[in-house]
Amino acid sequence: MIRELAEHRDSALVRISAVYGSIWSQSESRSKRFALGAAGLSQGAFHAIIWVMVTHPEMMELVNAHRQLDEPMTAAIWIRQQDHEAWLVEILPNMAHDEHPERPVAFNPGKTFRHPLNLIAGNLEDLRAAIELDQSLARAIAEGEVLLGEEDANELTRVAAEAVHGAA
Amino acid sequence: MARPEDADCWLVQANADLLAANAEHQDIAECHRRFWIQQSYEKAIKAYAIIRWSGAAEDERQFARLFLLKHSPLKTLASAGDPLPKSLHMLSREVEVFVRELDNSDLLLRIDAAEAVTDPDQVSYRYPFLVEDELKAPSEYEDWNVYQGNRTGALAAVRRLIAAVRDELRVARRRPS
Repeated sequence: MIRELAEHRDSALVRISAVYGSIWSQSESRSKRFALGAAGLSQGAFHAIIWVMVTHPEMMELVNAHRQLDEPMTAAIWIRQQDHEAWLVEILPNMAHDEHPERPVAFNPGKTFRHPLNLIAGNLEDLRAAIELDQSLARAIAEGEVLLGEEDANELTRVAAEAVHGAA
Repeated sequence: MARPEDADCWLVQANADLLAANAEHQDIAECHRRFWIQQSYEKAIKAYAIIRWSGAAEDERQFARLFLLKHSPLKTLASAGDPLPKSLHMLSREVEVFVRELDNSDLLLRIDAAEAVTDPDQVSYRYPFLVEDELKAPSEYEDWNVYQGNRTGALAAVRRLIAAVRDELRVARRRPS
């Protein structure tokens, strides 16, 4: 099912429906049924696609909510953007030392954020060290999108790119 | 192990506590209402945490010890002395984000911080405490608005919290497996 959906995910319909999905899914109009039929999608498949897609506005909303907390956050990078779960790297300078910042903290989806969330958080030093040891994380960060905090985020993506190229 | 579907029980109790806080009876004092408001808030916020929680099995005990079994769950996490397990630290951030997006979030955080302390120097809705050097029973105390905010506002804030958590649960249940 997921593979089938993944084949559809780059289509215009999926992109549009992901952005407007929550509004769209509330309606039961004839034009909606027609559009789904034309795209060869059942209602069930459509709803699954809505769940699968993680959108840029949703990630920005999440990061903006996090940055308003008292605990400072200097950078956020959205990684593994093609995954059906959300993956976010956050630099929290006051975070206590963590041997394994690369191990994500997982959260179930809800109404406020409707995707499973994998949060990789740590201070800059710990994250930098983790990138140097974890090729998968390095590649993900090097290919990630900076959503907040150019300075610290760029430092991390630079280290990640070096780790990837150094290993190549 | 806490599962999202368990949240429903917590919400049922949150709702029952809120009804008790609002009950009409001549023998119910303001301290009792304040206690039930706090109890209702506490169960609703725990329900939300249960819905979102997906921590590792080895963190489950800490989740129960430092959050589910605590009277002031957010305050407890914020003031936990030793470094908090990372999953709980992150959870407290997610819960706080959720609360801060609700109307009257400041009031909800005040309710969270209202503990049934036994220290006579602090206001308590359960144990006698000192007011101007004189021991007073909570049932005789009148300044609850200063302590926990306006009662009508507190009831409305907790009612909205329960509704918001109920919505979260509804969405969590609709998630395709």
